Amino acid sequence: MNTPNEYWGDMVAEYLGEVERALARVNHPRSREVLDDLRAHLEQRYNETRPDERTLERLQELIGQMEDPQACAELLAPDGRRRLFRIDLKRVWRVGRWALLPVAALLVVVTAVRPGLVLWPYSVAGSALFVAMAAVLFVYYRATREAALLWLAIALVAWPIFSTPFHLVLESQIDRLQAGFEGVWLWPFTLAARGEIDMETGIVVTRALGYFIYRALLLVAVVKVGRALRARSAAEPEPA
Amino acid sequence: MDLQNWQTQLRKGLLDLCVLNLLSSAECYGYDLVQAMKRMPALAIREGTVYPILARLLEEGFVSSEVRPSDEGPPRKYYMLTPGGRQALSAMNGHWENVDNAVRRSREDVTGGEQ
Repeated sequence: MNTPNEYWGDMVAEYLGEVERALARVNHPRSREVLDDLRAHLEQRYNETRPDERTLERLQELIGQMEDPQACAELLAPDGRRRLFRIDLKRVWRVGRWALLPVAALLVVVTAVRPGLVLWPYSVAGSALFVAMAAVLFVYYRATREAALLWLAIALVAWPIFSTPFHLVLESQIDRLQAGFEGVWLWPFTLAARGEIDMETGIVVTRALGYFIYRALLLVAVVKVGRALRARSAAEPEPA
Repeated sequence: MDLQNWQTQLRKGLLDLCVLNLLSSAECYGYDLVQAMKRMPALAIREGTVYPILARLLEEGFVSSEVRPSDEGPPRKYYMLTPGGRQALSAMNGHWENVDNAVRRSREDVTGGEQ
């Protein structure tokens, strides 16, 4: 049988879970801090209770003395619910400016070493869009810890950037095929080199694979965001 | 009129002012602030009420925080007023005095009329 002390962790987790759900509806950047402070406060209250007084009733009383989760949300954001994707430009700039520096340095180095080499095929506007998307998603993930935002980041930012070397290899393989099948090593171009399929089919298959991965990631992200929004909407109190 | 709702709204509006006033005399850590406010029964605060308020005041730049080691256990987060917070507090206290005076005068006028 569990002792009251063993129940304490569950009781705290249950209360903090309720607060977390209530705070999720107002989407405040300091929600995580409130939860950490409440946890620290409960720990201190527990430590101040003499070991022989830690009965189940007493521990329930400690939890019962805490602020109502809904009231916590109202005290944190008295102006009501914030929009999930409200863009705080100051915050985006604060985070995004650190990403601009390494990207700019990489572009300078690449251009200096190999002027003709296009390692980064995106324009300045396209690059800025990636940085902006990454910064916005990071800011909102930090505030909400919503896993759906990570999936969006993978689909919209990580995959297009990290698949760039793959596309470069692909282009070089196509060039080699067109130049007479010398140095072709990538499947399915090896099949084309052996005459088992024609060159056009090889190109179509590899490009379709890239598109498929991108769209599959996007689909997962959209489903995850949809589920997250539905969960938030289900947690909303019924109108009186 | 729903008296309880009126009291709740009034209390909510005054909690920020009370937290800022407590921090104006000394920097506090959250738990101390809760204990200090619990000694004011009219505010009817519960354990943990101050943390969402402090988080909002931090975000608004009225207070700042600093985590310091403690001899009695885990590190503690201390809260202090920023210059902006001190300025806002002064304006809030001024406004509160005006409201308080207005309520007193309205009550005196009624009492005077009856005499």
